[in-house]
Amino acid sequence: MDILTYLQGASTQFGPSGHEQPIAQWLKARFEPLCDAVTIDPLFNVLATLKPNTATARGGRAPKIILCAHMDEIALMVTEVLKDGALRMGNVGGVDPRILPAAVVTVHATGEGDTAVPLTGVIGAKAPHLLTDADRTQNYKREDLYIDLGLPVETVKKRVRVGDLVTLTGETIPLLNERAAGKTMDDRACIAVMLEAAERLARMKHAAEIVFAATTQEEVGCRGAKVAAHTVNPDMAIIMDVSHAPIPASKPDTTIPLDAPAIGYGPLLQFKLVDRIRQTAVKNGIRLNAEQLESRTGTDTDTVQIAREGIPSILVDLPLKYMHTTVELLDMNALRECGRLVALFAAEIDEGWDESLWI
Amino acid sequence: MDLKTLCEAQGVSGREEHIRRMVWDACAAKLGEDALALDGLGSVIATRKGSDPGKPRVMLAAHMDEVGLLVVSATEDGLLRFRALGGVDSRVLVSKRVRVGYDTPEKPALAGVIGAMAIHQQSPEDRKHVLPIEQLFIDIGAKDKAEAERMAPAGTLVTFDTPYTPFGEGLVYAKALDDRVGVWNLLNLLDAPYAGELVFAFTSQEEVGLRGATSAGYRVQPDIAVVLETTAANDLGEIPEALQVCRVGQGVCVSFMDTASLADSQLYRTMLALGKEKAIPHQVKQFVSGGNDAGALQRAGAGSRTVVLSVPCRNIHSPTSVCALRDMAAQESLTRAFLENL
Amino acid sequence: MEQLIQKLTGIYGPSGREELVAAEIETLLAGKVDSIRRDALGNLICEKKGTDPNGKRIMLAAHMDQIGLVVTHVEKEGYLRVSNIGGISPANSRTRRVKFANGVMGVLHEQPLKPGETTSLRTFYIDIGAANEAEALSLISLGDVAVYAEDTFKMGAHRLASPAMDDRMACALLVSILQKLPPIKDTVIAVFTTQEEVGLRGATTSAYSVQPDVGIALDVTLTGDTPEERRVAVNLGEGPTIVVMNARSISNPALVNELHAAAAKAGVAVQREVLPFGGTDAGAMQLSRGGMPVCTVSVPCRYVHSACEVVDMRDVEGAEKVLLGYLGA
Repeated sequence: MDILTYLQGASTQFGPSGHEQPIAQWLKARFEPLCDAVTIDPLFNVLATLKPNTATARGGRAPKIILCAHMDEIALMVTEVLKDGALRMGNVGGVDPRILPAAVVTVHATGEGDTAVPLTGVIGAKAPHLLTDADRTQNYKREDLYIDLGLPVETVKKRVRVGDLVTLTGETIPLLNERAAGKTMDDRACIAVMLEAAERLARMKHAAEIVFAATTQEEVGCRGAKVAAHTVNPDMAIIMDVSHAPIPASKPDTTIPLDAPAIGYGPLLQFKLVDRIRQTAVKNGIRLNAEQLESRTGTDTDTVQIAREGIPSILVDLPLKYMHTTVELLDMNALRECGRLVALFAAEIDEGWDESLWI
Repeated sequence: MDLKTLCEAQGVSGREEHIRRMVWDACAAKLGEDALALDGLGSVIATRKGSDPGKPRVMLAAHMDEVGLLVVSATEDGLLRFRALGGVDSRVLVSKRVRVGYDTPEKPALAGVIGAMAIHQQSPEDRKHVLPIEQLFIDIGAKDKAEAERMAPAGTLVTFDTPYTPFGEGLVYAKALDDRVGVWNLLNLLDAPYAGELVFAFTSQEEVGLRGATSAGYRVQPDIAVVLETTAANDLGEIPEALQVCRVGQGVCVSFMDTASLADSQLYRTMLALGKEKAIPHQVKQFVSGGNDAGALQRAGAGSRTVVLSVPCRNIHSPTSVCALRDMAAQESLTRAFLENL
Repeated sequence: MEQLIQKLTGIYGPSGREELVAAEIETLLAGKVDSIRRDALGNLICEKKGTDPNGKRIMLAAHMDQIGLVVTHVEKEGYLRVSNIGGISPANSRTRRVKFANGVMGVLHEQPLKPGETTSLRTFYIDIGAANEAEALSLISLGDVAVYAEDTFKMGAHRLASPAMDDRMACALLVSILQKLPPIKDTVIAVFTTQEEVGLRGATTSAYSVQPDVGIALDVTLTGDTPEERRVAVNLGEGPTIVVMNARSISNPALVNELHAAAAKAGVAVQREVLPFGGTDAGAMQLSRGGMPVCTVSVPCRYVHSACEVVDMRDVEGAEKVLLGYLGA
């Protein structure tokens, strides 16, 4: 799979949290050639199943592994159409208000029918000439930011409704050294990891049934993964999400290097499985850093782990700079290594994998 | 199994294996291995079948995990940076002894201390400020970063190093009384007379969000869950009575609510009435704070009726938590009385 | 409908103590549904079977509980110290009449603040007229819960004010819908939920046992049409709202469109609601088991979580038409 082509395609698909149907359909088409069955559930999670292609060691039940990465993107939503036609907006997920002044956005207008019509808008910013000294030291508050559609107020009122979605814009571009930057790398880059792993697993022997879950509504509380894990009812979970790579302002112990995957450590992450995937990495010459997560992880792990009777879980991190902006930057080699690691680990899992997991 | 052994064993959230082993063996000895199961988060579920199917299925629950610290990196001069795992107030950490890593026959835990700048070198301003956890370090005597990383790599778990110690009149101080007291009482109750099905749930990961109880509750789906816990007492010094929460030595606490659950009002009243009738020392928890496994058990699956019985505990989540033995006994007696009268 | 609201708002029922409300609703629905049961958390689950065995299972949820004040301590002088059950606002609580389950009345008041002290429920107390601790404890017990006691009253031609409008108005709405609902192909499970105000707890367990295909919560929402109130673009009297998103759920887009279509067909003007905070039982239903499409239909309400929550009856009646239309009645 050409990673850059996938990232460029994925980042243009519409999929704010709770409204992921378009990206879900697009992803379904990508998993279909690689998997045995692909379905979309009531929360738009894409569940792609790869059946075992070899018998288990003792001929018993095949273990079931869920792999999760989320497809939803952070976005904005129209909360009010003002008297002059300017649009006030709210967050869908954690949009950093600092990226908004002077940003170009797309308003998905539904005023003239349920099928959204894209309208281009810009977010206003005061001219530097008009700023007071106090203004310059403070970021804009969301309430003081408006979307300008450049349309007369009557047209705006006719075409735009409260609740219409607003997405950020920006192409995904290649940079030096196999790096790339764009929007929605969090976490569609990790879905590339799953596709990479699916391609590899199709060529490898694996006794486990593997379900790739491209999940929804992660940015608003890991909601899609909660129901996906319930539906799939797996024995083990591998969650993939992005984590912060260092920039000059980073605090100590809060980042992982950009050029290699990392594994999460912490109370939610099953310690023997963490040890095991580290061994997989060592055996196969994969550099694997570590991230310390002393409480909740802020990823799908938090809801997947406590689905049903509890699911032993691990978290594989793909490093990313500038998270929740439209220039999220990653290393495509690290992405490939993530895919290789996850595939090799999943292929190792056979009947009896959970003996002495706890005692 | 004695409380001293349980408290001194190491079992931070997510790494309860030492406690799990003890609990498993103790339950197996009384109920047999066939009665035991582990769920997907490592909680131990011991089921005692009932003879009377007309009786409600009751779960007694206590959590195995304790709060602790997690090593995240080493400094150039060989000190360990760490973070709190579970709710630890950084003000209780300075000048304390810790055990770095888990004690196993192959690899004993390392001794460590949490140091700070000497009082002589502090400015008056320094003395006022709380030292945030980022400015505290564990010293294991390592000479440099390389040695520190070799001996205690990032991810190493740290627990308080406090011997279980009786003191005063009927009090003990120890680490991890929250909730080894509950675990201990659950083990004491394995033979409690009750004709219905009785499930003992030793849960994991309570301190990081009631996680083990979420899964255990889903698996068991009892009619009634009684949670045996400890709760923060704030009863010394000039604290206004309204803010004391509960008082050590005055009996087991019955809670009408906390931040995670409202007690089933009937069960709450039953507990108070039984305490009175059987003259078991008890008190009402007089403050709404904290949350425990009842929050998760109540909402698992189609729901359970829950109630919490807590032993008052001073300095909870610190290296020297304090409980009264008579309150622990009252927790056991009230639970026993509840089962007998159900 | 107005009488029904008057009746249900007058019943005592803070979170965890919803039995009296449930009992009244059960009486009102006798013979109107096929089955009524309660679960471990006290949810009242009323099922009306559809005519088509392959029809959908639609869960409609309205919560019975109201916010309250739980007694945590009794002072020597007989004053009661309290903590909140649900989102009690200190600003809305100064010098209010309150009542307990056993009929004991009291005055909720804030003591003078010390310099530097900020207002919180710790600075409030309830005076029940007791001269000392012993007398107070003969009237109430620790753990007893008080609620705002103001009466329900009419304002202007169309408006009604009451402490428990959130969410007894919706309980009344749901009772009325069930009373009017003719046989339809889908099965309707009306759940009068408990403990919504403390975190959607009743809806969590009831949605699990009901196993619906679709979930719709009925609730109240804030308005932005009073002086200096700009948080939401919802106006009282301009129709019920269809929630696109709130802090606990994002409504299923297709379900939002279906409800809009039902409103258009019924000739009811509706508003679209985006609420950056707060949540409804839809949040719990959406995440039950394998997940389901959900939405919330709300009635605009001024002064939510106060002793005088104001709704406009035209909005309530509009909501009823939209929901009956959606169900295909």
